[in-house]
Amino acid sequence: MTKNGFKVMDSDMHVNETWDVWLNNIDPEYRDLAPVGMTKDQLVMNMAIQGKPIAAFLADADIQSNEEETSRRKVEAEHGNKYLKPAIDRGFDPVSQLQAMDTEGLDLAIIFPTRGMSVAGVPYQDGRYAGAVARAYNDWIHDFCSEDPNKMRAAAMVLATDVEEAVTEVRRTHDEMGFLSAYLHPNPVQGRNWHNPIYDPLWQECQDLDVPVTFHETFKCSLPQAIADRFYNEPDHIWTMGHVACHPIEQMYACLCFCAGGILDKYNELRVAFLECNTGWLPFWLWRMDEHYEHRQEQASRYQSILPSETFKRQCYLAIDPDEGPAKYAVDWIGDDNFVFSTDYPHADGKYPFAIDEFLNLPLSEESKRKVLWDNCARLYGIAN
Amino acid sequence: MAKNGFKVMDSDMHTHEPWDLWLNYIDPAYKDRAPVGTSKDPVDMNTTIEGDILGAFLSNQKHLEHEEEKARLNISHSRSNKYMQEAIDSRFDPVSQVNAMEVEGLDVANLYPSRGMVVAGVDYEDEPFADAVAKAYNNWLADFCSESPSRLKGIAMILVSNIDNAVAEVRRTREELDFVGIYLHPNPIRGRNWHSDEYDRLWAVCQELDMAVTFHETFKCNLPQAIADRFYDEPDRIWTMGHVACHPVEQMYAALCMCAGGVLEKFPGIRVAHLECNAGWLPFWLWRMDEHYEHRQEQASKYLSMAPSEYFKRQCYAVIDPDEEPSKYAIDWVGTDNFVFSTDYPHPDSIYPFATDSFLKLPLSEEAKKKVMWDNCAKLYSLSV
Repeated sequence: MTKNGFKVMDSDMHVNETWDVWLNNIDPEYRDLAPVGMTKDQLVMNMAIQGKPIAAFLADADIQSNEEETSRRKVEAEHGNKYLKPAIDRGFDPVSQLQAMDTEGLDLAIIFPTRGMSVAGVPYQDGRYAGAVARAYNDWIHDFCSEDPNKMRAAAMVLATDVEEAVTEVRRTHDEMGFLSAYLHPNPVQGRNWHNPIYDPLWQECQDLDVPVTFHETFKCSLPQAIADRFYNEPDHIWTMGHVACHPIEQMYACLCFCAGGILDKYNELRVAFLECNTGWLPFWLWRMDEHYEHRQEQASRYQSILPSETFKRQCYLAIDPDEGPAKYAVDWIGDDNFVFSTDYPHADGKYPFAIDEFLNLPLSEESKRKVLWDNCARLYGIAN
Repeated sequence: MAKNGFKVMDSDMHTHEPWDLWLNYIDPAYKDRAPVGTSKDPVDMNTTIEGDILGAFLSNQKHLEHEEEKARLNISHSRSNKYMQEAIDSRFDPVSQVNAMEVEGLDVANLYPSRGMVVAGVDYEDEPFADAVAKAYNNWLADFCSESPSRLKGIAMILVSNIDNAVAEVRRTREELDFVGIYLHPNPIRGRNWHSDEYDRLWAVCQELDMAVTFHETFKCNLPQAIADRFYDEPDRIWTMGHVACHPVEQMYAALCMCAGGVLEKFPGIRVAHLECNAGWLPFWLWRMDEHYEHRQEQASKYLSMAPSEYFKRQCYAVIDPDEEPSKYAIDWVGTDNFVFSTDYPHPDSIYPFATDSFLKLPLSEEAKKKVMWDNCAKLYSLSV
């Protein structure tokens, strides 16, 4: 199918997992430590481990009830009964996901978690336990996508606490399950920057297997969240200020590590995407990285042989929000080859089922729209057209 | 004077204060704790208090031991700048400041510190001491500006660990020293966000006295520096990654507090500037604030009556770097009324004495250039010169 003559690939569509994914799928050894839903509600995705909420700010009971209530009201008011009702009635099962794809007009979707985002956003200390958490999700999402593997392809949850575990899981999900990406939170794990050489085997494996690395932040996270975490004890500001910061700032950090920190210089065939974080910061950020690189080239040339912006253009992708006016500046600055489209279905701030319609209203050329809706995304995820 | 037919006002020109400023100007009761330069070199702005070097990364042993960094501390980039030899020879005295203005083509300059930036970047536990530190600098600056009061304009150092002291110092510097604005670090002090009610009396006095509120970050800071501080352990990357983040990210935080946190709703008469942090992030950041505001308007309407970007347009200013090409997008998005010009003289990354020339080459209309170089800045600092 196509919409308005465009083939459409969603770079980042979410599932709303059931509350008990980890209870049912985790290695029995870790069942007591399985993350579980704080409620069984399919619209409120808050998670806890051994009774403790994962998202730092949800530990405050007032904020928790305020946030749950607001997000529920939002979903219900905006599209709950109208647009999401069929999915809610089916418990967000694989069939409902495919129906939503048809409704929105998506030909192919790369599937990311929702509850799993929180679960992945934990500073796990025990690498084996983290590995078990990731495997449980990946096994479950593999089953989920098997409903129609021609339309739904999974991004693997990869937890970086133990790099060897991470490498093994990238290989397993690629070789045995046909996953198309390894997804990570952009925030530092174990206090390590992404250009730390300890991660080299992970980037090497992803490059060798032609698996793109995708970064995706979530609000409900307990990893460090620069700027955002300064608003976590202010219920009225947690969305309008905390959430403004939480997605893009940590992604700007990850982008800095990859483009200016030497990773993409060393792994020059690795593809990297920064999802759900807007694109408008890109001209400013690339310009600033380049300016600093030029100012101290003698230092930077030890680990980086070309301008940071050149590595971005060669290897990186950003998702344009369907209604993101300033995206036109990013396309103007670096061209239209580095951007992909996403619906963010079924999240409260997504535009489903009008994401494509909204995107088509952006002031971009028809050629750019075609590339963003399909070509670039196919290149990112290594899909033949 | 004027350059190429443009009158030029520098929103943010720096002094290089002498190593013994505080020894000479601080309340004698604090003389033994006065901040002092690590050397008497007029280019070396590193400063200690009671033997501890200021600037979190400078106290990192790994950094200090880094040979190149040692060399750089001794021979600053600016020393090799032949254009500053005269200023260096006269130890950056007021006459050299005015001479530099002649060379660059500046009619009026608003003066900010260098050493004082480092000294102000501390979350002082001892509030009377902080007050003495600020007063000493401000008195020194008043003497400095007296060389040419119509061209050198004082901006007060205001330390907010104790807000009553801060309010009194705003009044004193306005009423007794004829300063035109105050400067704050954008980073949180005492863990307080800028929209905390505790600061209301600070904004009130600035509004009452028509004092511009300006934010300016510095690299060598002991306050929290989101993202930037993740690179403090890596001498090779401290500039090419840490400094990329340090100025803009904390300023994005301050802009978020002022525009989306309700400060400018409460104080519609204050003018706020974000200095030395680029302008290119504005379209993205304002769009994102507005989108979040609209998504949770029922919450935000408790403290905002309009979209955050409207407050920015009404009351805020950002600086365009002389060679910052992506600033064209900021002007396209926001209009021409909210941007000012700065040389950043005499810092190593400034392009003095070619800042004005470089700015004039930016792809902006003649009308926009005129406003940025003079009109907007005169409005910000309420100067009718």
